[in-house]
Amino acid sequence: MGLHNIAIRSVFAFLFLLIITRLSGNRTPGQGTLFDFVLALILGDMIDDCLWAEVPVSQFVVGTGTLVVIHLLVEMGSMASPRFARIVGGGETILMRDGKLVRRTMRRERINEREAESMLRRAGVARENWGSIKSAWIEPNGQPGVILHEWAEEARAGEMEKDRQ
Amino acid sequence: MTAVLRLLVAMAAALLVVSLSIFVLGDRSVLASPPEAVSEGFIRELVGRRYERALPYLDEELRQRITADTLRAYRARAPWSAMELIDVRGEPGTIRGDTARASVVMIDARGRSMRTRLLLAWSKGVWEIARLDQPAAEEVQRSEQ
Repeated sequence: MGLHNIAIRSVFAFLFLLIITRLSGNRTPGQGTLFDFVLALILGDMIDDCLWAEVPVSQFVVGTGTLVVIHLLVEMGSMASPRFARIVGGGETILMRDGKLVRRTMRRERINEREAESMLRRAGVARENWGSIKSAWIEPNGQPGVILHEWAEEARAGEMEKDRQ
Repeated sequence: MTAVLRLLVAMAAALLVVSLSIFVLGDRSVLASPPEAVSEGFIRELVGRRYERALPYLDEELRQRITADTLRAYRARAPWSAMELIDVRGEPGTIRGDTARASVVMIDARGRSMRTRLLLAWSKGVWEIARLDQPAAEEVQRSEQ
C-alpha cells in the first residue's frame, strides 16, 4: 500500500473520530466510567484496522459511529433513569464512614489498606486526618470522593483564609 | 436526541465522502481497501482455517460455487499448507480497470518465504477474489533466520 494511501486514510480516520467524539460530548476519559475507558480502547483498535486497510473505510465509519451512538444512547438513558445508570455504570461505593474503613467494600472492590490510603491521599486527606472524614466514596469512574465533618470543613476554611491573608 | 441525530448526520456525511471517492472519482485503493489488503485478508483467513470468514472475500460468482469445504480442500493443497507461518503480507500488484492482481507473501518460522498471486475483480465498490485456481506459489527466498 502506498504511503500516500496510508496518509489519506489516517487523515480521514482522525478527522472522523475527532468529529464524532466532539459531537458525543465533553466528558474526558478521567470523568467517565470504566466503560468509557473500554470504549476508548475499542475505538483505538478499530482505527488500526482502517489505517492498514484491513477493513474498508466505510466499515470503519459504520462500526465506530455505531458504537459511539450506542454509547450516547446509554448515557442518555442513564441521565433519564438512575436505576438504569446504576445497572450500566455502577454506583458510588462507600469506602469510609466516620474515619473507619468499610472492610466489606474493600473486599468487594479488592482494595487493600495501602491502596485505600493512597486514594484518600489523592482526595487530599492524609492518614493522620482520617478522623475528619465523615464519609469517603469510590465514584463510578474509580476516583475517590470525600465529605468531611462540619468541624473539619470549618477548620479547613479557616486555614485557607489564613493562607490568603 | 439532537446529539444522536448529529452523530448520524456525521456518519452519513463520511459515507457520502467515501462513496463519492469510490463511485465518482474512481478511487480503487485509498478509501476502498486495495487489492493487496483484500488478498492478505483472504489468505490470513485460510491460514487460520477460518473458512466461513474467508468466503465473503470471494466474488458473487465464486460464492455460488464454493463452500467452506472447498476452501478447506484448497488450503490443504496449497504449497504453503505445511509451513509454520508467522507472517502474511499483501504486496501491491497492478490495477487495470476492474481487474487487479496482487501478491501475498507468506513467511514461516525458519525464514522461508512463498508468494502466491491472486486475481481480483472490482464489484460494487470493493475488490473481490475472482479466481480460485489450483493454489500455486513461488518460493521467494530461502534464508534461515
